[in-house]
Amino acid sequence: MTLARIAIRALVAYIYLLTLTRTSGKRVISEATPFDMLVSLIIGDLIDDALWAEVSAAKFAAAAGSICVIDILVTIGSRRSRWFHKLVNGHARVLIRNGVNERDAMRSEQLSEADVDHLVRLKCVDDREEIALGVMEIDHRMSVIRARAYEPAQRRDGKRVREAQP
Amino acid sequence: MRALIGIVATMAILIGASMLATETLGDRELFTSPPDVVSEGFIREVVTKRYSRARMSFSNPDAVSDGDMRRLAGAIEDRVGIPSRFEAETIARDDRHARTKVRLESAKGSFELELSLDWSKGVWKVYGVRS
Repeated sequence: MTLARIAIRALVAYIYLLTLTRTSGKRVISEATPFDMLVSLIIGDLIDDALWAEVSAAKFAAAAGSICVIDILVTIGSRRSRWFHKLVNGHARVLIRNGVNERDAMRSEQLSEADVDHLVRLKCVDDREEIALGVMEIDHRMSVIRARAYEPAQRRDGKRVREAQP
Repeated sequence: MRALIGIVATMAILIGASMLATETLGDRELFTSPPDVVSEGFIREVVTKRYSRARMSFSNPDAVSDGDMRRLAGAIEDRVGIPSRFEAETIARDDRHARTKVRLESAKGSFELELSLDWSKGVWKVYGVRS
């Protein structure tokens, strides 16, 4: 197999995947759901076979294209049905409520106490008491809503303090 | 919906281009698996004892049996044990036929097989193996 043929195959596969990705309107990787990652892995494996000519270009086109078609259908289904969205992407779970860990949710997410501490620290929070709601989102990132008492001071707070002064 | 149509159209373009290249422009190595890759794949299937998959490399899989594949695997094992290196090259090729050589190497030695292939339904298919 000559180097030129490998290069041409790589170019064709690159253009094909670029077109598929642009056409399907895929989001950036940081917004990818676990299912998006799975699709990327499958396509990554397919391109390996195409580059080394273990499958023909037509088979590669059919396989990678079909995966993208299925992905689009799943996305459309997720947009139209809340139930289907939950089935495919899972759902956000409350890990911390009013400073207290939700044990069942931690078990479901397979997170230890240390993992939750780590996620909390990443949000620049040093005490769980400050958290009203800590939610594990479907992209496995934690979002934190601080308890009102620990929210950063706002201009209106100063006004309230002045009003409260005798 | 537009995304769906776009993907199907992109798929159709590459499949169409691939068919045009092989059927009309006579491509036998770029948009399809070249004979050396088909031969190497076939021998790998035999060596790893996936006989049914190996038989699918033949243009008429029913003409060969798992027993034939087992005998070929046995012959390879007798000569080189379990090969650690596979190297295939195309010796001769025209639009309809190809001959390839697959060299198997292991610590025990090396062994060469010569395969004949036919162009059948848009892909290269094995029709004969000779040691």
